[in-house]
Amino acid sequence: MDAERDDIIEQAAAALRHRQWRSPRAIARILATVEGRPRRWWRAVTWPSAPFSLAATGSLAAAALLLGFLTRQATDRPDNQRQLGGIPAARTLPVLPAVRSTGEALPLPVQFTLRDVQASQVALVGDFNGWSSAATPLEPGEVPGTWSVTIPLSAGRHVYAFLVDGKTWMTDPRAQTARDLDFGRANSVLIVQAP
Amino acid sequence: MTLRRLFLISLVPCATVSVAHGQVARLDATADAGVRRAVEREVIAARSIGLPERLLIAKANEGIAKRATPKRITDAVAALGKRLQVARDQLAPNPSEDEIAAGADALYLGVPAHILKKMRAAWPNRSLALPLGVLTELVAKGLPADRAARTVTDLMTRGATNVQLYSLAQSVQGDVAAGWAPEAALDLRARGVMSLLPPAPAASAFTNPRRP
Amino acid sequence: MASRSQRAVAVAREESPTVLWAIQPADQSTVRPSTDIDPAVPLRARGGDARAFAELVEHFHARCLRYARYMLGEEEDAEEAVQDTFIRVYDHLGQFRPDARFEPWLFRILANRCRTMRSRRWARESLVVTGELPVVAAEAPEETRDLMDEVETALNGLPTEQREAFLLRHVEDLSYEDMAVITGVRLSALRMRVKRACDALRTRLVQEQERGR
Repeated sequence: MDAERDDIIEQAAAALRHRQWRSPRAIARILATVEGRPRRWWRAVTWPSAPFSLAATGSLAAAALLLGFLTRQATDRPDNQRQLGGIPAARTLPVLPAVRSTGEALPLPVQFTLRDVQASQVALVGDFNGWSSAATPLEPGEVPGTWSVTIPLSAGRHVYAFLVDGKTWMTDPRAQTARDLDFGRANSVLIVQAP
Repeated sequence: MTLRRLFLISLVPCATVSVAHGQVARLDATADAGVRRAVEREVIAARSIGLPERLLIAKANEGIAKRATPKRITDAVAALGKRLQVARDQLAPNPSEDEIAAGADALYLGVPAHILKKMRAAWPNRSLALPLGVLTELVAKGLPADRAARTVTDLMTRGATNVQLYSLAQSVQGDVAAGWAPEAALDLRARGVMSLLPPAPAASAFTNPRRP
Repeated sequence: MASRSQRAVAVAREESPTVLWAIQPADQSTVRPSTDIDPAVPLRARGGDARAFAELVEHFHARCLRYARYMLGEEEDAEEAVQDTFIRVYDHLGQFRPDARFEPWLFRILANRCRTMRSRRWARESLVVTGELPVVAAEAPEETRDLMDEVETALNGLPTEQREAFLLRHVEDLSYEDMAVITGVRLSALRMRVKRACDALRTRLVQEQERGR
């Protein structure tokens, strides 16, 4: 018996031990996950980031059935001066191909891309993921310096930005910007179409 | 040493809460204690009246991500709480969370509250998330809120689709970026959409009397 | 020699005749029933028996969830860590040596998952999932809540490696040898961590009690 295990420790340990969290649903989920799963199968596709792995919303499956998606093409990251100075007057906006979704309530998959050869990690933050810097990391593309992620977004106006290397706030060079009356740091704006 | 008190240890196992696997809002751990308390207060208030509390937590997280001061964050969260309530009331009955969020955004940029009610009256059975988003973006581009609201609700009443409203917003954005004055861009593009719509059945309360 | 429980009661009566023990520690001095599983079950699961794997999950899930909950602080994180653990167990059962014990092998995977999750996502306050808002906590009886809260708060105040060591030793009742397999830390360091954890918990709980008078 440990010398340190006196009555206080025994009481504390008993209190902690008596608490039991039983979750039949979690057990069922585990068993369903492994059912038919081949062992030692190396999956080439990594699991999506944690919030999606447990938040298996029906909308993701539905989005996969849609005919196409809105694509924002990657472009070189402009230098800081150009980016902070806003969009030059001569610049034309990209024409985003419209896609009809199968139902008004279904979100559309939207691809966000960024080209930044200096970044070692890029995260997408916005009103759709609670501005969490861990929720939606962009994945590096085959071409070095390209980053992308595709997520389902509901119809309407969304504001977002990229967080580069965990500390550099960057608006999307190909998107409109929106003033931030609350915190003074501009966001990018995207309107997602609905039928 | 003994513990001089009466211990009542519950021996009943605590069943875990089946976590709803939808979107779960989490306040960033780096939140200042004052911010945390303020957000908790707002969340309690929102929860008690059925408002989407995750939007409040998201607003706090936005402020934290942008390194805003605690006071700015708590002020922003409190102000959002009020806007959410107004939006919910004006977009009744039973607005979706997306509609409430979009309504709060519109109010944020100065769209009068009664416009939300008029938009709901124009589209009682369809989601207002996109039209509200369009309206918000037009106002963000520099259009007077009343003017933009009048145009959007007029188009909605006349039967414009989401696609048409979306293309209106995109076109105005492009025109403003190309140097057009916002009002001129809106007038031009709204005429374009209007020309595709059936004529108004009667004099609309929102028709601009200056139009030919 | 008086048993632990008899000594405890004797001391209690001596110092304060009004102290009552609502939970009798009498049985605690004896060996608690083993929480390990029949060794044949993991071997059958290793051979591809799906029912045996299900039995493993059902047997260990609550304990794993409890450990993960105390290490990670949140139900959703804990559920995810436990789910990841069992999927890894399933994927790597072929690597489980037939002569080894399953329990420390399982907890090693679980402890690693918890550590990875902690380092990947620094501790977050969740106002929604854990129900820590007063409107929920107020439902619990006052006394019960105080003790549970005090112990959990004291546990949360420990450094991670001490908390891990305390949970494995005193809540999961694992031997130091098993703990060495689970954590990869040598025995002397583990004993020191457990001791420090107990000292810190004891100090904290006594202080809370003094404050509550």
